[in-house]
Amino acid sequence: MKLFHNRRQEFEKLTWPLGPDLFRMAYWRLANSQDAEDAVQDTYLRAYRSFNTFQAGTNLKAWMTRILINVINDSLKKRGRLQDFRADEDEIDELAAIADQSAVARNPETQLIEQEIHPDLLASLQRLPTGLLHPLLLRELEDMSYAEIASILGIPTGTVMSRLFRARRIVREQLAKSVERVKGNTNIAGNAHELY
Amino acid sequence: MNCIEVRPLLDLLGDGALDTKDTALILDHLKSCSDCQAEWNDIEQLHASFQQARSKPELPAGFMDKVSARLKEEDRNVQKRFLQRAVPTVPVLAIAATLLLVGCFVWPAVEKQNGQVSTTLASADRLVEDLGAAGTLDMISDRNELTKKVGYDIKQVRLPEWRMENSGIYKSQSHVSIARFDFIKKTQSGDQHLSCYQAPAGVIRTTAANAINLAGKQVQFGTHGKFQFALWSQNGRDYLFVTELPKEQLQEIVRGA
Repeated sequence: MKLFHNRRQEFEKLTWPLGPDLFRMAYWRLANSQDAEDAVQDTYLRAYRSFNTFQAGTNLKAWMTRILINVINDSLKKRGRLQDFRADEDEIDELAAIADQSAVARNPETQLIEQEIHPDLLASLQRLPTGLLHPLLLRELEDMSYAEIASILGIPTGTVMSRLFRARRIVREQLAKSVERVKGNTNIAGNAHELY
Repeated sequence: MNCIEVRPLLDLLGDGALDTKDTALILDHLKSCSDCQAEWNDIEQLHASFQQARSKPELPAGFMDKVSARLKEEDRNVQKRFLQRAVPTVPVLAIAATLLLVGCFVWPAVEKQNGQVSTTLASADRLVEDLGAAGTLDMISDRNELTKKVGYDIKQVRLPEWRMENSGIYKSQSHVSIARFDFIKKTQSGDQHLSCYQAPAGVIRTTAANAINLAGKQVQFGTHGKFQFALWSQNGRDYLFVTELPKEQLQEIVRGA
C-alpha cells in the first residue's frame, strides 16, 4: 500500500542520518557489536511504530536516543545485567570481574572492534553503573547539553552534573589502574627476559 | 580561588559550562597549582579519549538496509493484521448485502418476469378464516375502481342464480391485492352464501391435496371449520370459492362457473 510506503519513506528520511550515532551509543553501552546492532534495529522498529507520537519540530535525536536507552534497559533487564546507579566501589569491582569474565566469551569481531576503540576506556565504562554511564555517554559521545541529557533521562540538570562528575572520576581511576597493570606486566616481562 | 573551590569546577570547565569570569579565575589558579593542573590534565586526557571514541565504531556495512528490510516487514505484518481483522467481517457484510440485494431487487424482478408476485403467498385457510372476520374487506362496489385498485383485470365470474352482494379488496399482509366477491342465493330453505377470492395465479396456496378435475379445471377441495373451499387456477388467475354448502353443491357451482 502506498500509504505505508510514504510513511516509511518519511521516517527513513528523518531518522537515517542518526544511525551512526545510535549505533555508537549502543556499542559503547553494550560493548558488543551484535548486541548493539540488535538494540538499534529494535530502536528503529519501536520508533517507527510510535512515529505518529513524535512531534515534528522537536528534538528527533533526543527522542530516538530515549527510545534506544529504553530498548537497552529492557534488554539488560531480561539478561539481569541492569545495575542501579547507586553501586558503591565494591559493587563496581564485582562488575569489573563480571566484565572480565564476559570478555573471554566475546566473539573475534567484538574483540577486534575493542582493540580499535580503546579497550581500556571501553572496559572502564562497562564497570560504571547505568545511572552514571548514560549521562557520561550522552555528554562525551553525543555532545549533548546538560538540559538535553536531563530531558532524555528524566532527571534534574543538577543530578546530571553530579553524576557526570562521579562517572568521570570512576573512569579516570579505572584507567589509571589499567596503566598501573600494564606497567606491572611490562616490568614482570622485563625481569623474565633478564633471567634468560 | 583555592583548590577546594576549583576541583569541582574542573568538570564544568571541560564541558564549557562556565562563564568567562570563572574560566579565567580557574585558569589562573591552574598556572600556580601543580596538583590541580595534574587533575585538569587527567580530565583533558579523558576528553581526548572520548573525542577519539566518537568516530568509532563505524556503522557496519549494509546495516541500514537491514533496518529498512525490517521496517518493510513491519508494514507487511501491519497490513496482514489489518486484513485478518477485516476478513471475518467481510463475509457477514457480503452476505447481508447480497440478501438485501436479492430481497429488494432481484427476487421481485424474477417474480415479476414470471408474471407472478408472490413475496407473501396467501393461505386458503387464512382467507377462509378471515371471511367472517370484521374489517378484512375494503368494500369497493364499482368494478372499474376495483380493477384499478387491485392492479389487474378482474375476470368476470358467471354464477347463474347467484347475485353479487359485496365486492372489494381483501386486506392481507401480502402486497398483492386479492379481490373478493360475496354472492347470495335466496332459496326457500333460506339464504345461501358463497364468496369468491380472485388473485393472480400462484398467489393463493393450499395444502389440500385432493385435486379433482372438473370441466377441465384441476380443483383442490378443502375444509376449514364449517366452510368448504375450492381452489383452482384458470386464465392466469387463482379462484378460491368458499361456502358453508356441502362439498357436492360446491362441486356443482365450480363446474358451472
